[in-house]
This record gives sequence, structure tokens and C-alpha cells, in this order.
Amino acid sequence: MVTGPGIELLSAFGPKQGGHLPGQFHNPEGLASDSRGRILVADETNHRVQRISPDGEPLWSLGAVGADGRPSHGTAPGQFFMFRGIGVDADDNLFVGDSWNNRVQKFDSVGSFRMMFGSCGNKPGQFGGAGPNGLAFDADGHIYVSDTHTYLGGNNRVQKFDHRGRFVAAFGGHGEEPGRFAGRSPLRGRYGHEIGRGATSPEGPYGLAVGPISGHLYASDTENNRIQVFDLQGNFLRSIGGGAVFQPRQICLDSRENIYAAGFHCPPDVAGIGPVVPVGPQHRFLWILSKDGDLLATITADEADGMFDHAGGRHHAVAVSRSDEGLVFIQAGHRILKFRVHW
Amino acid sequence: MDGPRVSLLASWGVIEGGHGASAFRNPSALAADHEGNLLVADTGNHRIVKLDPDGRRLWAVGAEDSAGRPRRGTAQSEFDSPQAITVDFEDNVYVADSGNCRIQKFSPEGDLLTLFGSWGNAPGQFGGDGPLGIAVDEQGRVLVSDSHTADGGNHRVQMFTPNGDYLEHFGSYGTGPRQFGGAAPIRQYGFDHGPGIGPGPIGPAGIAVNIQAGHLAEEHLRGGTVYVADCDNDRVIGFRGRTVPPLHIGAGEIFRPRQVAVEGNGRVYVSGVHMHEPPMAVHDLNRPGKWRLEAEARWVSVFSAYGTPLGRVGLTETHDLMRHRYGAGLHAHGYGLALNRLDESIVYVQGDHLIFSYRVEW
Repeated sequence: MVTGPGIELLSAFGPKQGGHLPGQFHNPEGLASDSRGRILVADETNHRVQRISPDGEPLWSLGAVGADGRPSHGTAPGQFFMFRGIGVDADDNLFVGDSWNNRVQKFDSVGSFRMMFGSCGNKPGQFGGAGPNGLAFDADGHIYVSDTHTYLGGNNRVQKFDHRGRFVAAFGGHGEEPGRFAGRSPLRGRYGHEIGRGATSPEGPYGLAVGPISGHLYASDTENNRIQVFDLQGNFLRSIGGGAVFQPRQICLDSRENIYAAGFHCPPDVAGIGPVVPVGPQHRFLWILSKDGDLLATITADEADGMFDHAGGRHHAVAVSRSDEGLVFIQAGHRILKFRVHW
Repeated sequence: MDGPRVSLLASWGVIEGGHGASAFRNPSALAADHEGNLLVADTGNHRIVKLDPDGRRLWAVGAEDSAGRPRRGTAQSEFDSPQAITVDFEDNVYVADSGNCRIQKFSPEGDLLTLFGSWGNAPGQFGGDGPLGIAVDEQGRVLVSDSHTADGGNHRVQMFTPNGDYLEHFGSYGTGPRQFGGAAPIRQYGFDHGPGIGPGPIGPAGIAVNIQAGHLAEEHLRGGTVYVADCDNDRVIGFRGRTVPPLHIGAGEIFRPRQVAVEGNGRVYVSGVHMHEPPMAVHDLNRPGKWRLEAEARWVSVFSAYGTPLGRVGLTETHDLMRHRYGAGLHAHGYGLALNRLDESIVYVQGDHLIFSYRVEW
């Protein structure tokens, strides 16, 4: 039993069933805070980025708008297609892992397009069929992007780019061994065969973050149920969270380098098969770990006060406010829940 | 068919190919700007090169490794096997960055202006071989030929605004009017080969627009005639708006057309592998799987605006320089084609790793 800090649910943003109006979301699968505590939302199936205030007020959005005035996917700069990766660097530049466009787009702090890089494939600088997922940044301006499987098999790697989006290095690969990703599921010949474009299995690496103290890269290894730590050259250092976290997806760090990991709440035996099992305390969906891997706190359905959408809704995204580190934002289906952690 | 008088003005590049400043590696698409310069999609070197009228390099854009050799890349101003190129009225350059399934647009000085497109089969996305043809129409819209996808065929021409916003598309897979690529049975290409390397049926390839076409009319959605090389159907289709039946050009004369260029007065130039009989049955037994092409198999065919064969462009001497007689596959041939916009009697034709400048007098 963990005796951790008190967890208080403050508010929920957006309707339970989702929506496309400003301040509403449809699968907000990625969250990030800028330096002033505003939250950037990867509003996945609305194909847009929304910036909201810490109280959930919509500020602006980026993305294509269709002829009917509703959000639409697109392929031009500033347009997105089913994306989950989102990150904000130290200068409040916004990076979007534009998943089904298989590229990363960069915007400045007011949302002006700056650059893009990446395409679909398994060569250096290319991303697998489900596109880039997580994003992280180091102090030298490098961009780290987690890469998914391809039709040919698994990329399942982390790619490192320079500040202009030019490929620098890649590390990882499919497997269960230290330093590899997503190996819990056997690598079949070609994912996407049966389940089509953007199929996300096997998943990992997913969330990425660079530690403000250690300077190490944290990568959630979803299918292997762990978080791996690398140096910035891609050398494996250690693995944490084993036995404590399950199917970790997006991760973020606070200034003490505590790790916030959002996970799926289904046990492995039933995940993705048949009806979703009732959510119990054992199916926690947010873990807070110290940088050494000690479990500090969990946020579960109990703390979510009925807001936890367990009818197929996903809980993959988490962000800690960079201006008030007690505030934690978590995806719950189509909503975003705002918690205060009383450390 | 008397044909034109053809003479060789110049040849640029190195016969064996290379990555140096004076060499190309399979420059499979060419475009002439309004100043008499030539834009080269140096496909195998993953770079774009701009040449002045005398063949001197003005600039080059593309990724290089730490040793200064060209490499493929996915950042802005980096390319993966670009296979089509064109310019707009202001000499901005559009590049079909085929292996990256996107379009990049540059200023006349080679500075990136925008880029758009990705892999897939949604609007604005391109199939596994990426975009294979590009042209700008009389309204400045960008027409892009789209290839098959892992899920089947895109085989369409997509239209974009100059900023890359998707407008609409036309065409589909098949052998009928307004259809592309339908000679080969459509399989689920890409499942076996992955993005970018699946030998799917090649549908629309090169595109050219005659913006001075004489039948511009209000009721035509596309005012100029849009010529599209329908590669695996062995024809060029001339689209003249939605209400007029398309022209089908080149039956019996052209085989696997890849690039198209059109004169202001309407003559249509087509590159590809022409009149190669029997096209798919001639193998070199020493190199299974490689096509063996006859020396005469590749030239540029010329038609009137309405499809009457007018002649061919190509010289025996220049064909003898090319390395296609024991062909390295259908990708290793002379597809690049452009007409000098200041003097349309100057025709640029790719020959393997070389670019020939011909004088063509009718």
C-alpha cells in the first residue's frame, strides 16, 4: 500500500461524449504544458492542436477546417492527421508528432509554423505506419522522437534529430532485451495487414522525456511494461517501473524528475479483446515514480470521482503544469481531468 | 511521318554517373524555367540542381553526409529519390519528393517556401511510390500524379493550391477513359514491399499543361489541356475539362510513358520506353529479373495536340552512350524531358546519367 500525497480532483474539461467546438475534445491523446502552465492538447480525432488555459478555456487551435466548418485532417503545413505526440521545448516552441502524416511539425509559441520533417518508411528519418508518438528535447536543441512499427515489421526505435530536423541517430528496435522496445508482443511480419492504416500494435517506445537533473532520456516501453532510461547517445542505462506500471504511454517529468506515466487500465489478458473489464483500484492509470523508480503515488478511478471513462475510453495522456507543479492534467476518454497533488 | 531534324547541342553530366558537382545519377525529371535555366531532379543523388543555359550549376539543394556525399533525408530541403519537378509562372520550383511522399516548393534561388503531403490514401496523401508527376496549370494550381498505396490504388491526379491545400482530384484505377494504371491487375502492393519500394502498377506519371490551349472556355473546369502519362496503360491522356471526352494518345507508338512536355503551339513530347516488343517478354537470361531493352527502345515521341504522331527525338549516337542495353530495370532509363521555354526548339532529354540538349527543327 502506497501512502502518498493527497490527490484532489479539481475539474474536468470537455463533454464526456467528446465534441469539436473550441474547448471540446475528441480523444485528446497527448498533453503538454508550456512555461506559463497553459496546456497544449493533441486533440487526436479532431486533427487539431488546442491551447487551453489551466482552467480549460480555449485559447487557440491549429489544424485544417473542412468545408463544413468542422475540424478536418490535412497534409499542408499546420494541418494534421490523427496525432498523439505533442511537446513543448524550453523556449515554448510547440512540436507535434503528426502521426498519420508520418512527420513532426514545429511551431513557435504563438502557433506560427516553423518547420517539418519526416516521412513514412523504415529508413533513417522516416517513421512507421502509426507515425511518430512521443517527443522530447535536450539542452542542445536535439529532438527525440519515438517511432512506431512499419508494414515491414518494427521500427520501434527512438530517433534523434538536430534542431533543423536532420537525422542524427536512431536506437532501440523491437525486442524485450534492455534497450529495446515493444517486444512483449511477437513481431509479426507486417502489422497493418489486418487492422489497417495506423494500427498501433506492438506499441513502444511511446512517451519520451529528458530529465532536467540527470540529463537522461526516459522512454516508456508500453508493451514491455517498463520505462527505460538512456543517455543522450542512446546507451541503455537502466529500466524502472517494472512490476509497478502497466502499459505506460505518455510520460512527463517535473523539476524533481519525478516521472508521471499514464497507462491503460486493462489487464494484459483482456486488453483489446472483448468487453473492457470493470475498473478497479488495481487497474491504475497514472503512476508517479521517483527517478529511481520508487512508486510515490497513483491516481486511479477512486480519485477520478466517476469521471473515469472506462467504456473504451483511453487514458494515455498526462502533463504536469510547468508553472504550478502541483497541477496534473490527465486524459480520461474525451475529457481532460485536472488534479492537484498535495505533496 | 517525316519527323523533325535533330542535332545534339550539348551533353551534361558524366556517362557513368556520380555525385560530383558536374555529375548526375539518373536525373529522371527536368523542368525549364522562364529564364532559360534547367531544373534537374537528380534522383539518385537525392538532390535538386539548377543549371544555367550553358549547363553550369547555379545551385543544388539536398542532404549530404559528413563526407559531403549526397544522401537521402527527411528534413526540409532534403529529398528521397525525387522523380518529378516543375516551375510556376514566377519560376518557383515544385519538387515531387517521391520517396518522402510529399511536395516541396522552392524560390528561384532554392530557398524552401513550403512543403506538403504524406503517405496514405486520404486527400492530400500519396501512394507508396510517392508523387511521380507534377505541373502547374493556368490558374497556378498544382497538379500531382499519385501512385498506388499499400491498400490498393490511388492512381489519381490531385490538385492543390500553391500553398498545398488540397482542392480535389480526378482519375481512378482502370483502363477506361479518365482512368490510370489499369493494365496490371491491382494487388495489395506494399504489403509485400512496404512504402516506397512496391512495384505497383504505375498509374499517372508525368503531367504537362498546355496553358495556351485554344479551347479555353468558361464551362471547362480545367481550361488548359492537361496531358498525363498513363504509364501502365501505355498511353497519354489529354484532359480538356470535365465535359469534353479525354484524348487518348499514343496507341501502338508509346510504351510505358513517364514524362510529358508540351509546346505552346500544342506539340506533345513523351518520354518513356517506346515500341519495345514484346515489352515484357525480353529477358536477359544472364540477369534474371532484369529487363533487356533494345538500343532503339528509348526515345522521345512527339504528337500533335490531338494525338497525331509527328516524329521522334533521339540520335543513335546518344543512344549508344546510354547504359540501358542490358537494362538495370525500368527505373534506370531516360525519362527526364523538358522544353526550353525561351526557345522551344531546344529539347532536354535524360539519357541514363546524362542530360542531352537537342535542337529539334520541324
